[in-house]
Amino acid sequence: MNKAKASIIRQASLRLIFSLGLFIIFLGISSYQLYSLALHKSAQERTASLAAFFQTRLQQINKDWELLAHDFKVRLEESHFLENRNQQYSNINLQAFLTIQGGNRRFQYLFIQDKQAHKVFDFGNDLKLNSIPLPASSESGWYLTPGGDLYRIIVVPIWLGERGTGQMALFFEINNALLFNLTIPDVDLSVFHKDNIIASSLGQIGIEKFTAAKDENAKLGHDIAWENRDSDNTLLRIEAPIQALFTTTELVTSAVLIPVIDGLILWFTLGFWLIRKARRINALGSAVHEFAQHAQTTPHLKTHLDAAYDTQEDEISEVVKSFDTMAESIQHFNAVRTQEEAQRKLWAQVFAIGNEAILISDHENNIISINSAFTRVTGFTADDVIGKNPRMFRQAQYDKDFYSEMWIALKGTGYWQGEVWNKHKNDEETHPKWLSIATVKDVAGNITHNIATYLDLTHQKAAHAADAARKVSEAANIAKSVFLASMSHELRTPLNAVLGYSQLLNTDERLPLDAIEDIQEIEKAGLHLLALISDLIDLSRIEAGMIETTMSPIKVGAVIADSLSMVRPAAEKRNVALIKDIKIDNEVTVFANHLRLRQVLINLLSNAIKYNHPNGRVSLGCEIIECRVRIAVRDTGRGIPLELQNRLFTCFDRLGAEMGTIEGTGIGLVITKRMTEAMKGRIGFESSEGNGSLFWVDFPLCTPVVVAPV
Amino acid sequence: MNFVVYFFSVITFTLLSNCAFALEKITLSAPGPRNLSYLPVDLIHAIGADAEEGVSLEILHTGGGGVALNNLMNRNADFAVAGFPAAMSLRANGGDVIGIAAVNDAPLFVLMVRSGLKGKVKRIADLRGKVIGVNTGTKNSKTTSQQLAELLLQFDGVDLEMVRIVPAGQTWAEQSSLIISGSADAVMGDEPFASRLAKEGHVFFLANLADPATTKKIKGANFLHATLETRGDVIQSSPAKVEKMVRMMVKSLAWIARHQPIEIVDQLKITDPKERASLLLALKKYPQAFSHDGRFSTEQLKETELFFHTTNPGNAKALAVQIESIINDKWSGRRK
Repeated sequence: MNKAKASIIRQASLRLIFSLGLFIIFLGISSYQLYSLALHKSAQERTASLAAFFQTRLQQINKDWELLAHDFKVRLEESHFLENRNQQYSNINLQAFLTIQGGNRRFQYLFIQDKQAHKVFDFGNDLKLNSIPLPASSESGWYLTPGGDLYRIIVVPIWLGERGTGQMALFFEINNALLFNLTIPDVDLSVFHKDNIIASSLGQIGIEKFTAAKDENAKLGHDIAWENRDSDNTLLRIEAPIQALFTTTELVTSAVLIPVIDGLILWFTLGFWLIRKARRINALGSAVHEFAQHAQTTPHLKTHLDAAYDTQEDEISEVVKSFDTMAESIQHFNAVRTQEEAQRKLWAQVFAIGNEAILISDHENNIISINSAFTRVTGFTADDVIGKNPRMFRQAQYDKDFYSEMWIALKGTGYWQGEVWNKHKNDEETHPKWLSIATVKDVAGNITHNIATYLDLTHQKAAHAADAARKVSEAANIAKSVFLASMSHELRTPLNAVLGYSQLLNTDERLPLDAIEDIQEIEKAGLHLLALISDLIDLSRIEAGMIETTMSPIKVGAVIADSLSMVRPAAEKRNVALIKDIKIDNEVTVFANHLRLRQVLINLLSNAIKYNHPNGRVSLGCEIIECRVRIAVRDTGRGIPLELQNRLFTCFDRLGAEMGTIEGTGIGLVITKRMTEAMKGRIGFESSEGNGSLFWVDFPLCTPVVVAPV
Repeated sequence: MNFVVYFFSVITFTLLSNCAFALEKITLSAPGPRNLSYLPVDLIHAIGADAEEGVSLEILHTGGGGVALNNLMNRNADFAVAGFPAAMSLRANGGDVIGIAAVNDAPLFVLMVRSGLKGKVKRIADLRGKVIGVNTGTKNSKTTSQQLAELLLQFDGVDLEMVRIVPAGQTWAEQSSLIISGSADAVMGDEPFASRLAKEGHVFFLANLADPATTKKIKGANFLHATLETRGDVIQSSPAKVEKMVRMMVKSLAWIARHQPIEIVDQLKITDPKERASLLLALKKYPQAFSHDGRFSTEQLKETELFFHTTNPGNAKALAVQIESIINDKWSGRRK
């Protein structure tokens, strides 16, 4: 089973090696061909440069032969052997003369003819000629023997004595030796006459080589005409072996360079291609790895996919696109699944911790799940109900028809709800519950689950009862306040009459002194009762919501000044000093009701004066704290014990002052607090027994603050 | 089926025809023609030995062994027949020449003096102040006849500066013209030209290598004269060609050995009666002239080396030449 992994890289490597092998073979062949072509081309170019040299050499040879011909002409004429005094004698002497020239004569054949082109004498190779084989006026030319030997002929006029001037032709054979001596090392020369090879500097081997490979040789050499006038007939071909034309270094370098360059081109082309592909595959692998790790499209994944993608739309790009699509699908799927999971968890939590008791049964109506609220509401745990039928909760007070109607509704509409009374598991008393049952159906319309929710109505019903009682109480309270207000008004009218008449009586001089004193007691009691009634009226109005609190910007300084002037007589009467400590500008305003604000300040100042020591002090301060204007009244009275402070704003509770001589109703501070709060203000105090008290109120600032210099 | 047979028959016939008619050309340079020492060369074609080997033999005749060797060196020919002392001289001057078969068995040289000097020239020493013709040589090689002439002159006390050596060629026309015209007083002549000139009264013989009286005073007088020679590069590049050439020469020598002088002359188809008679006379006079089989004789090679060294006293290059170093008997063989 441990089958070797069919690695793509291994397979690709094997194929690459196989392809590379084939490539190297074909590269070798093509390189060899290319190399040969290049060498031959270079050889031709280099032999072309030799052509100029050999062209000069040929001109020298021709000139040399012409000079030799003229030299021989002179020497022969000087010998007088050609003057025909004795033909036999002359011929023998000519023969001897030419024999003695030996190798120095350099021509292979000599022919002398008279004016009529009759042979006079010949010497040398047996060419069997009767006349010079050239047109009459030619000074030079070529003669190709029937045997294929080629001669260069130089013709000069020569004095023949009584026969006049004839012609002497010297025949120079174009043979291997001539070329052998003409050439330079490592250069092969051949002579062609009318496309036939005549001689080679290599000798017979060169001639045979040309004959054996005529076409190939024809491509290698560089031809020059033996002489310009005869360019079509006799050519000198210059060839040089490649080894002679190029140094070993050049040959080796060239031989190596072509495959090396080809190899490098292959390497770079194939290598870069493979590297690029490999990088893309690697990037794709990284993308897969990245996605496997995070299961979502991350910036890194995007980067990897971009690196793997190519605009050429190859297979890798197709995989990239598919993977990208797949990743997005999976991410979307995961997002949906996560959302669903969260939803499921939420529902599970709702199910678990919700106030509604929930029971779920399957298509056979066997209970499969309940929540904790169910246990709380009914007392039944999961162990009690799972796997059982909900009919276990049936109560005797409901007849069969009740349940039949319930199931008919469920099957028909998929929903039923209604109030039911069930017993708790642990007691015999029935409790009201609002039961809702809904069916869950599959796509085929078959019921898969039933979901029943119980809402315990016990507390709800109790709350309804309490609310109804509270509303009755509030209505009664309002009625009481209305009654008090109207009653106070009704009380004040006759009381005013009592006070008015008591004041009239008090001024009546006819009354005796003791009657005056009684009348004064009546007036005094009447005033006290009036004050009490006024306070009650205010309190009643406040509680009945009838107090007027029209709000407008109020200059605090002015209200303070009014209030101080109002309480100043009482302070002087009790010999209490009033101290004003204002740290705000006169233009500072608060949003309040002018009348009620002055009433609040008078109440606080009156209390501070009333409950102060004789010769005590009351200071009124005003400052701005956090955009609110705070007005504080500090006294030097006996202070409020800590244990009594929580009763401070309770109606009619004077904290024990009712036992003293200081008059009061016990509702002043309550009215002050209600009025302050009715104007969106706040009230507070600080006090300790023996150290006096500080009462403060503050209201929202409604003008720009300008702090007065201290 | 018939078509296939016909097709292959045509192909086979064509190939065989090409083989049959494509004769290999071999060029050989030698003195002559009809110089007795080099007669085996002329006979190769005459007896058809070249055709038997599939060869078309071209012979470049020259006026001396030196020129023939020059043709060999200059690639005019791949083979040469020349005196072996001349070949050694060439070798001493750097020529890449190798002897591959013996042609002569005995050297045939005659020092002949024109008849006009009869009575005045009785011995070699009397040649002082005379013009002496020898086989035509070259700058790089001294012909065997020149070496021999100089040896004879020096042996008889004639300073070489007291004679004028001129080329005499190795044909009848050349040698006879020098004598008859008086251009040369004496010629180191070849047979049968010397005998013919003597018979016609133009010359008398002063020395003859066939005469023991002459040879007894020459060290290495029985040297190897005409020898088949080639270059080292030919042996290296065309050994088959060398083999064929040797075989042709051996066939010619064997043919000569098997035939009478008259048959030899007839085979050469010589029409000039005088030439014919002189050649016939020479062949009869020198029956030992040719090798029978082309094999080298170790003894003769030693004689040749002795002769060469004797003729080149004081020439360090010549004295350094060892004859065995320029002999390749692979194809011709060796005898004692």
